[in-house]
Amino acid sequence: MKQQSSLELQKVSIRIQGRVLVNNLSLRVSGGDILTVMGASGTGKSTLLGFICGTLGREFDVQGKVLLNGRAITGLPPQQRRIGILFQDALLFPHLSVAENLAFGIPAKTTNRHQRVTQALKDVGMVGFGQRDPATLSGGQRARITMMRTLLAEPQAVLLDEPFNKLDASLRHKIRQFVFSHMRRAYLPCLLVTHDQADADATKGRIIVLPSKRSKTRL
Amino acid sequence: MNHLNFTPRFSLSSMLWSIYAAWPLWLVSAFFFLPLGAGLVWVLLPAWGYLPVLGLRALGWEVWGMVWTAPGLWTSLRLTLVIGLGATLITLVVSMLIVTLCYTRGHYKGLQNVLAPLLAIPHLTLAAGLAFLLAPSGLFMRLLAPLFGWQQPPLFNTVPDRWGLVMMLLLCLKEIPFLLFIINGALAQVHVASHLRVATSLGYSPFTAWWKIIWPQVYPRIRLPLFIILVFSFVSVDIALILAPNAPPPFAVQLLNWYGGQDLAQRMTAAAGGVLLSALVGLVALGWFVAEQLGARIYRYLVVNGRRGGQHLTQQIISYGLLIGVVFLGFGSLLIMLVWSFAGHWQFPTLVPANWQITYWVNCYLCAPIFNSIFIAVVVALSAVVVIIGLLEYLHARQRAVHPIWFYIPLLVPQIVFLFGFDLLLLQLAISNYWKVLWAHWIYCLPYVFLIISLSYRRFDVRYEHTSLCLGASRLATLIRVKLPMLFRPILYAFTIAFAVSINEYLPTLIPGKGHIVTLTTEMANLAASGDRRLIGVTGVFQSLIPFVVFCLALLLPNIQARRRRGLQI
Repeated sequence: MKQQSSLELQKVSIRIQGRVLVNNLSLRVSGGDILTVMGASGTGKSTLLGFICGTLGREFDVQGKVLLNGRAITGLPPQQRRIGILFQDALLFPHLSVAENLAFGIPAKTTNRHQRVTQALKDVGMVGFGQRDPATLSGGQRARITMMRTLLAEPQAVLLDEPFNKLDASLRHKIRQFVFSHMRRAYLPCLLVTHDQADADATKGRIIVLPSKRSKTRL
Repeated sequence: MNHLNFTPRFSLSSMLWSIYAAWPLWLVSAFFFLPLGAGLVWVLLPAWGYLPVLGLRALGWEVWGMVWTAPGLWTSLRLTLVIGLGATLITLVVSMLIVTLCYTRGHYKGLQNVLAPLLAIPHLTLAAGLAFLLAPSGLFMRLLAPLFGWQQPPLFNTVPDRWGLVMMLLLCLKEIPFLLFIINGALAQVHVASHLRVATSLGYSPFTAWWKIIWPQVYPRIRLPLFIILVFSFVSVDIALILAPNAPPPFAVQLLNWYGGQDLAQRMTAAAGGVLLSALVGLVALGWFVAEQLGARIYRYLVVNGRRGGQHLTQQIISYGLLIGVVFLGFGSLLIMLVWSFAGHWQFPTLVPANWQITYWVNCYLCAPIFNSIFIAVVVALSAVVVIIGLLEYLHARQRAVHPIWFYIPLLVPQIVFLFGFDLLLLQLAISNYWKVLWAHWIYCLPYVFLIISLSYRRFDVRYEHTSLCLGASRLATLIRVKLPMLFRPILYAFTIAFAVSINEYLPTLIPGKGHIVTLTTEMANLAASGDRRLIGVTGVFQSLIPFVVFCLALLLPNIQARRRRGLQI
């Protein structure tokens, strides 16, 4: 069934106060593929991700559909869409330990929760870090734990909102490969938003460029 | 010979200059920290029988015998415990429910706008207004009268009730807006929106995300204000005089009765009782802390159990009900005061007065209390602002800081306990009652002024100051021409808060003033027990109106200053 997993946008247009951010965009990402959306600041890259995961504010005027595995999810609240997202900041919850952050991602119905956490720590090469305070982790460690937390929630697609931006150059390449390889292994449709050409090249996938400075035109 | 001398040179003039330059430090030490310490000592000494003004110098346990055998002691303590703990717990839970609801449903900004005026209503006005709503002859009973066929007010007691429930309700009404204000500040330090986005992307409903992710981060940030609420709920006297049962009354009122008794030796009983009340508050705070630690262990398990939660419909309905209740009772209390201030003949069970009057508005019944209230509040707020700016400048120039906890002390020590000691201390000094009242108010206003202005000082971009100094301006010129104009808004805000705090002070007026200094608040407490409802209404309206006018001015003046300066606008 893996071949059927896909994330699809159909004729998506997003406007705010008459300004067109996204105009009639359609795309399809299959499981295991990483599609990159590029564009300068203010072109609506993060707004597009907000629309896909359902967190866009009411001030936006939106048209079009989001389909996940062929099912329309546009009207669903974010928590029911099963779309994971990684942001620029790791956003590990500061009041929970590393293991608790991972456990937070695991659905309630899962029986072997403790083993899942242990395995996840092993997968990211951080055995023995379970009880650590997230604030004491390095940038790379935080990025790995955040990604694993997202995957433990068993999403059906993942959005990457410039997640490598705040990493230094030496770490950036390593974490990028780490994240992409995990996404491919999980066979998830993945949509990366970035303004860094190196990020886009590293995906070895398709690239869509959002045009900048759109005029105030009606759709 | 080398004439360079690296040994620091001390001279009398430089020493005198450094003493003079430290004037704010001396002032704060002499008029704030010293009386705080001395006041506490002067509670402890009489509690063990040492009161030289009565010729008593032998320390012993006799006074405690009088406290333990006081009639109704245990009932009084139980009442205090139930009211104090109940009000604090309810305030916390209701505030959390309301914030969760409003944030999740997108009404959070509206909530702030609605509740900000409630925060400004003086608690005595709110107490008297609530009594007008809930009393047997109050508005609610008038609304119910047609249903039950009442032609006379019902005979059961609603205000005060024997369990102190109405007082608990009032404390919640007063403290919920305060806690919401504090929570608002705490939320600014937590990545609410991004953490909620992460949690919902992991499949959690927004309501569950609040309880599992946001509140555990916010709670440690509101713990100290929560303890202030706890202390206030345990030791509040003025509200208890209106809304709490009196046979026996809550323990803080009992202490005031002892302190104000004819027999001066009873002051020692009051002092010992004050120590007992402090111990009770301390024990409850300790118990709260232990419960927090135990609760946190259970909570950690719940947070990571993976349950995503649903729509929380019951929680939403309850939260909406609570929000409506708080807003309705809060504004209803104020409105009924206004109606009574103009009411003429108003017989039970009619819903509106038969006729209207303005007698109490045009006659100068309240001229003296109004003058005293404004005069004391202006002097206290202005001097507190000047001294705190001086102190912060002094500390800033020496790159030092004072931990804010020191300024929290008056808010954490039961007011009635400290004021007993402070009053006994003042007996040693030959100063007039008016000065004593000013001093006591100053001690209670200074913490707010310090907390507000020091926060703005920390946020102030020090490069503006450096630019001014590098352009050749002196420190004083930089302060007056650069820093103060830029900090005009928070300074005015600090003044307004201090002004409102002073207007509301009851015990700091009553105890040092020996009842001779009459303010709107002391007048309100006197009238509320047995006075004319029309006069109570006028007093309550004035008590709310005066700080409100000052608050409006504090909003208006910085806007006038900033009308052509976009950098100063917010």
